[in-house]
Order: sequence, then structure tokens, then C-alpha cells
Amino acid sequence: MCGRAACVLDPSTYHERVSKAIGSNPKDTEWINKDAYKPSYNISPTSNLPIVHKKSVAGFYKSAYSLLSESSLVMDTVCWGVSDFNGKSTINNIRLETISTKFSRIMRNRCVIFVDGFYEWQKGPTHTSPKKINTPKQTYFICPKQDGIKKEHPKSQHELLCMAGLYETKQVDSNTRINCAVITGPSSGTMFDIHERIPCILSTPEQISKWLNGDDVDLLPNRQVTNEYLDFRKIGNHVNKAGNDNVNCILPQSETKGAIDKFFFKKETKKRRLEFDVVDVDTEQVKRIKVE
Amino acid sequence: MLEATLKQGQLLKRIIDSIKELINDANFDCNSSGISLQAMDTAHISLVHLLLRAEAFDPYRCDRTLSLGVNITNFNKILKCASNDDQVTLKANDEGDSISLAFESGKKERYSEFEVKLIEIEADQLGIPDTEYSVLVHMPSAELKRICSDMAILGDTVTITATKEGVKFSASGEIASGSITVRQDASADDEDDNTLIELNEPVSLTFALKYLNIFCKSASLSNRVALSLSKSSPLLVEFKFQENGHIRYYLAPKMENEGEENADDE
Repeated sequence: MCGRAACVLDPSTYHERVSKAIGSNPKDTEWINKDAYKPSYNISPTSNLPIVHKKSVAGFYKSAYSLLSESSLVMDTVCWGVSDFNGKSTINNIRLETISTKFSRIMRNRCVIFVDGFYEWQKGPTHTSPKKINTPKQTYFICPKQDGIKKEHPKSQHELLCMAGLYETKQVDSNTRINCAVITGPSSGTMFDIHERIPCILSTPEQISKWLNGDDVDLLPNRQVTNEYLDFRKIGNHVNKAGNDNVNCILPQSETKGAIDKFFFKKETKKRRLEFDVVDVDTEQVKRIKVE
Repeated sequence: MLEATLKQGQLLKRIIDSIKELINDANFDCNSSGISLQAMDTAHISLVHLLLRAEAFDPYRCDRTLSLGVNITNFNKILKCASNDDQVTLKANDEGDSISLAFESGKKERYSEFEVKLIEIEADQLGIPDTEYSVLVHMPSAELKRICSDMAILGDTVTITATKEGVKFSASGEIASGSITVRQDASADDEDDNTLIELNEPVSLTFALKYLNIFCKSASLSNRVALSLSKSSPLLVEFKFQENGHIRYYLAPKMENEGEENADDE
């Protein structure tokens, strides 16, 4: 599950970076509702999330438009959270496995969501260690490798993380409102030790284009990519509070200001050494062997 | 295996009760010299170090080093089932997945047994560097408790300033500001009421009162408390249980220009 994300670039840098990622340039990439975008270290469901989707065209022309290339893509700032399949509640994630059964109404409303990274909470009992019944929750910030977001250089040329999503359009009074949700699939590797689900990550321009322009849900990702592609950073609990929106959210645990850790040093774990006396059968000599 | 009996079960009850607000889970590290516990609070602002020497128990037996991970809240709930004058016995097997607690009343007319499931906690053992502190204050623990609760009326943080005039605790907030100064006083009839200050170098540091007030819950464990301060070191608040152990709290100082958000928990 993915329920918190960070997207901290200022609007113009973000516009430029996303345009580049979808093979366009900022001049040609329209950004609907740009004013609603606010850089944040702590984006939670029901707040605004920037997405990229195909220009929505009514009725007859729709099929003609879909033949067009990526130039028909637009950026949009929308609300995170779509109506559940029975319309009773709002959900921020859609399971890959249930798109065709529960979300067939919006399965062609493809979008991608570019963020700096997302947060995940590891909890027990885990599938890997059944003994853990109530281990403390560890928070992770997960972003593409390279230098991720650095405190000093939030505008550095780091790679944005692209997640696949679906959106719905809703008529509220006289306005059309768009809501989106992140698609999640089963996780593997390091991510599996943290959580059994992971957002469907599109790591190449081809994957992004295929997803946005394709019809087939099976096209979705390629989760083998995650271990080499993603950085899993242990962070503190600062992000837990939705109101906290500053760089402390993504800093490694030990770098959080005021942290007690930095005053102490890590002790090396002591290895237990066992010694045995062994009699050599051939020579009948006693040897002492050590095992660590 | 571990087998340890505390004649005064009240001690363990009070220890766990005083740290339960600070830490969720912790490992009891048991070896032949005693039982210790080291854990950081969830926000990593403070660190607790507890030591109960083998002499605190009668009998005490621990053949192999054991690390027993417990959820402090659940452990506290079980300990609440013991009366203050009960004798408490802790038992654990080397490869077991639980710790057993037995409470026996003073007149031996009541005997209760509990098994608490252990949990696996991956925590790095932190080494605590030897620090030469600039200021050492020995004072009645009730006095520190009072100062901290009074200061909390004024603000979220307290600045502790030690000079040759004394140790000043000051806080300010929207409604008011104020300070309390304690001075060296060795004249009281009861030694426990004396305030002793050893000053090598003046120092001034700011700390979150929320944590200090949680530490002060340990005032019921000892009549005396020692505060050790040094520039760019955490504050050390130590409560000793006679000669049989101690509970030490380390609290990270507030940095300059730092907001209040660090004190936030989940």
C-alpha cells in the first residue's frame, strides 16, 4: 500500500522534469490546475497530487485521439483518492489484481504520478519472521537510487519516481473534478521485507508510454526492477504526523535534528567463540579448533 | 537459563511504569552480572539505560547471555497484577519464546504465574562514551520533579543554566515566563535533602520538558537524582537504586534555531 508521498520540486522545475520524462518539453506540455500544486514532503490522500494523463476528449473523437502520440498528454493537479467500487468510500490504492473486476469503469483512464518518493511502514508479523508479533514500526522513504533528494539540493537532477495510476472524473456542481489512485502490485526482494505491496513503478519512458497508451492491464510493471532501481531509506517518525511538512520527513533516522543517536556509537556485535579439542585419528594428536 | 527473584517486586513495577511512556519495546539483556535494558524513544530524542545488578536479586542465576525482547505496555499490564509487597520471579529458557513471571505474596498465601510472549527486536546496542561533564548536580528527586512540572506550565522547553551562582531552570511561553534557581545547600539534617553542585565550567542548554517530565516519573525509585550537563552532550539524568543498579536517561539538547516539531511522536 502507498499512502504517503513526497513531491518537493517547485512548479517550474517539476513541469520541466515531468515534460522531459514523458518525451516532451514544457512549452508543449499543458498543466491543468497548476496553481493547485504545492510542493510537499508529506502528501497524504485527499490532498492534491500532480498526474499526467491523456487529454480527455468527449465521445466520438475519443478513439481518434488515442491514435495520437504522447503529445496529447497533459499534466493535471488532482485529488488523491477515488471512489471505491461500490461508491461508499474513497480509496487511495487500487490493487492490480482487481482492476478488471472492480474498477473496469475507469480501467481505461490511465495516468502516471511523478513524485520524489513514497513512504512505507514496515510492520509485524512479517512473512519472513513469524516470531515478530509486535515489532516496532520502521518507516521507510523509498525513492529511485542515485542521490535521491538531498537536503541541500532539493532541485538537483535526481530522477523522479513514476507510479502507474487510474483516475476518475466526477461532476461536482458545475465543475468536473478528477480524482486519482495509485495502482499497487505484489512486492518482491527488499520491498517484500518491508511490505507485501508496492506501487506499480514505471522506470523507463517506454513503460510510461505503453501504460498510458495501451489497453492491456497486463502491461503493468515489471517488479524485478525494484531492487536495483530503488533506494530504501530508514527514516524517523516525523512523517507520521500529516501536519509535518519539512525536510525532516525524509532525512535518515540518524540525521534528524536533535536525535540522540549521534551522541553514541554503535557497538560491534560480539562474536561467540567456541573451542573444541579434537583428536586426530591418524596421528592421535589432540588439536584445539576455534569456531566463531 | 535465567532465574531471578526480586524480594521487592515494587521496584520492577515502578521501573516499567516509569519507562512505559517513553519506549514501546525493548530487550532485557541478561548476563551473569545482572539485567540491563537500553532503548531509545520512538522519536529518537532520548535514551534509557537501566541496570539491575545481580545483587539486587536473591537468588540470581543466568548461565548464558540472553536477550529478552518485550513489549513494555504488555509487560506493564502483567506486572500490574502483582501487589507492591509481592516477591517477583523472572524465568526464561535459553531458546524459549516467552518469559515467565511469578508473583508470591508476602505471607505466601497467594502465588500467581504468567507467561509473556517474547518479541524479536532488532536494535543496535549503542555505546555510551565517557564524558567529562561540566556540571554535576545532586538534588532531591522530588525537587527536580517539582521544578519540571512547574516549568511545563510556562512552556515546552526549559533552559538549564549552570553558573557559580547556582543552577537556573528557566522557561518562557505566551502567558508568562519564569525561572527557578537551586543553590548549593549541604545544611539539611537529612542528607537526602541536600543540593550539591560541582561546577567545572558554566554551561547553558535547552531541553524538551515533555521528556524531563517523563523521566521524573522515576522519582519514586530514588530520593536522589543526579543531573550531568556538558556542552554538546546529552543531559544525563540518573536515579540510583541504593547500590543495586540505576536508571539513566539521556536527553538530546535542543539545537539553536530549531522548531518544536522534533518533539512530535506518532
